[in-house]
Amino acid sequence: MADARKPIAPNPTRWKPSNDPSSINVPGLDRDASVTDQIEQIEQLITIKLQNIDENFAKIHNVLASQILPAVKRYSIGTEPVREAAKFWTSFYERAAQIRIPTYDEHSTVNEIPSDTEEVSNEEEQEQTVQIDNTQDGPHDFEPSMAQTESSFMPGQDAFSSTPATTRGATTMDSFASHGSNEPSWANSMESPLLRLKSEIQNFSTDDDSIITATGSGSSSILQQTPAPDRQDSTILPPSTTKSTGKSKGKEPELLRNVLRHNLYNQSSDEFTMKGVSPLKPKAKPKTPVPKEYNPYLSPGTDSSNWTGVVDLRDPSVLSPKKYNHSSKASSSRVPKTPTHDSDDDDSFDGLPQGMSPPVLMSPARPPRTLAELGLQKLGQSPSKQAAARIVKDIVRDVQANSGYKPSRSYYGITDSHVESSMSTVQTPPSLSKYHRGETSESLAEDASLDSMIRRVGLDMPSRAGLNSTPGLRLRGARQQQAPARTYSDSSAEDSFPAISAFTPNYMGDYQGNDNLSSDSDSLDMDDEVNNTAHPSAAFLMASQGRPGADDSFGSSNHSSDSLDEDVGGLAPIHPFGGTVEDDGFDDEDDSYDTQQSELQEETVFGVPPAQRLRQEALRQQEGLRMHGGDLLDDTIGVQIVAGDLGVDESPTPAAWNGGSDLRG
Amino acid sequence: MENPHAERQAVLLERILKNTSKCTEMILELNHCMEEILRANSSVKTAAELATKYRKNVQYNLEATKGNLGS
Repeated sequence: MADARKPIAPNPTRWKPSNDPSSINVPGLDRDASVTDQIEQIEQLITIKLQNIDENFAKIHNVLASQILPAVKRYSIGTEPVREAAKFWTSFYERAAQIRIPTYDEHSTVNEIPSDTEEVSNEEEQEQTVQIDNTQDGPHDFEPSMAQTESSFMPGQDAFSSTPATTRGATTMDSFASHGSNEPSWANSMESPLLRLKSEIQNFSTDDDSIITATGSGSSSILQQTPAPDRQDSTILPPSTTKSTGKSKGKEPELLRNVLRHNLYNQSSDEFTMKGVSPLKPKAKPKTPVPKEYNPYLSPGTDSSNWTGVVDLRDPSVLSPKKYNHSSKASSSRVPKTPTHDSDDDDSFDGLPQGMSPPVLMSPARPPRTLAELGLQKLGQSPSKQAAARIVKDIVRDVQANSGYKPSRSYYGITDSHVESSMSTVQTPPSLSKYHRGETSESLAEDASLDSMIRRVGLDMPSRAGLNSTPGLRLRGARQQQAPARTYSDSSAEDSFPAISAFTPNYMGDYQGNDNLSSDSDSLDMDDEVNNTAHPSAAFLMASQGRPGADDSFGSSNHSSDSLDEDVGGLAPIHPFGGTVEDDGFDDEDDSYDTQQSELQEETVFGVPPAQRLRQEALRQQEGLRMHGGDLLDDTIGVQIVAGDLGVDESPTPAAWNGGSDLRG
Repeated sequence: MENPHAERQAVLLERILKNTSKCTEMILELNHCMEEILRANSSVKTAAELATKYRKNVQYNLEATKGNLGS
């Protein structure tokens, strides 16, 4: 590691004091000089040595201040996402195993031996060491062992097999098994880590005496319950925040709290003793222990002791109680934020059905819903507003689809409009206004209503940036220089398809581009095709209304087609007209109306849409590209558009394109 | 007679002392940062161990299930 740096010279041998002056060897000393001179030389040597020492210390200080500390701080900042992810995953596993893992500092007593058999033995050892640590090393902070998590993962817990490895675990689990539930009772009584920390701080600052008194009652229970719960919990460690507060309070209260916490986590026999141990900890969102008789999965009247713990979730009657809107406990991890979920009161679980623990905090991977999102849910109260709400939702969805998904979000399937709503909220208002203005500005094709489609298409060809609905379905191919049909991200435009195909003949009587629409009816049926052909682009309009405009676009696109032909990787178009970039999400630029040529060629799942095919022809008519097994120019209506001026003979078109001839006029 | 030397050396010693104290403070700050990092990484360690143990258990159960299927 120090290879690149200059080697450090080894220190000279230390001077050993000697009573014999003649044996003293000072390196820089001239022995032949007089004593005075030698003294002088020695003094000078001392001065030089001191200077070196000072220089070294200054260098140390410089290196520390300029390189090491900033690097360490950069490291800590850089690993922040890792910590967030780890926090999420620990909560994930906590929820999966229905246990709580205290997150503390410093030494880790986590068991890392990979064998199951060793896990049990190590956990037991850890528990003993933990207790010793708790009693002896009170002021220190301990890290919780992983043994807590083993409870639910261990095969012995659920299976209660007779294998030697699991029987040991099973025996210790007897206290829990008696509850008739697989989950440790104390796990339910754990508050969330944040709440617990907060309560700890409050306790430290106010109620030392009461805790001490409570400790007296709790300590006895600790000793009694030590053997059985040890299997469950590992080290009981004060939270990291207590380290700062505990120091000021002294060592003894901290030890008491360690014991309290140990007892808190070790509770197994009686769930309700928890309250006796820590009566001062406010439980804003407590995971209260679930009494046996409140088992929500049991039909009323059945003996809870006989419950095997196996619930057939297919039976709807067994599912969670009515008041609790979530269908399963797993979903309780998502905090209901909608106004309709009134029963999920945060402050009291009176609203919750019996036996159901309050919902835990939301996963940190999900951002909180914005007010706009919540407000949007009230938009759909009236029919007129429902359309607006739908529009907004679609816009949001497309925006999210266009913007880069975070891997975690996509992994968790969080693809609804709730994600990144903050981003969408910024962008939706302009789009909505554009809907009403009827401009040709870019707008997300969210309008599911026929009227809006007609309005959009009828007024003028609305320039709609190609927004991807689903990245998976839309691939970026070569850019489309001409955009007879814009590539829209019309997730909801499928509703408007019939309308478009229906009124396109009326609307574009002499519009050659209509051939694409009508002849593309087969492709229009596909959802993916909607994006390309549902909304005729400005290029179509220009082509129909003014030849020059269309020619210009075609011509320019031809010029630039070469440069873009190689682009198959889906890069953003650099077309001169291209003012819009697909997949960037929400394009509100009005310029895009004139820059339809900047569209990317988007291949759909079903192949290149005919509209794009047309565009490709117009672009590459000179190149004689082949498409779908045939020459591009052979069977596309685009030839008609270009052929008229460029003199390309019209090739015989397949039957499917015959309908276009009517529109050609 | 040795005053000039003593003077010079005293000045140097003062500087050494000042630098040393500054270095000490920086090292204390470094320790503090390291402690914070360690504290933060403990959660990462916990998560990693959770994942490891989960995978181990899953593998164990899969092996057991496979055995059942085979039989």
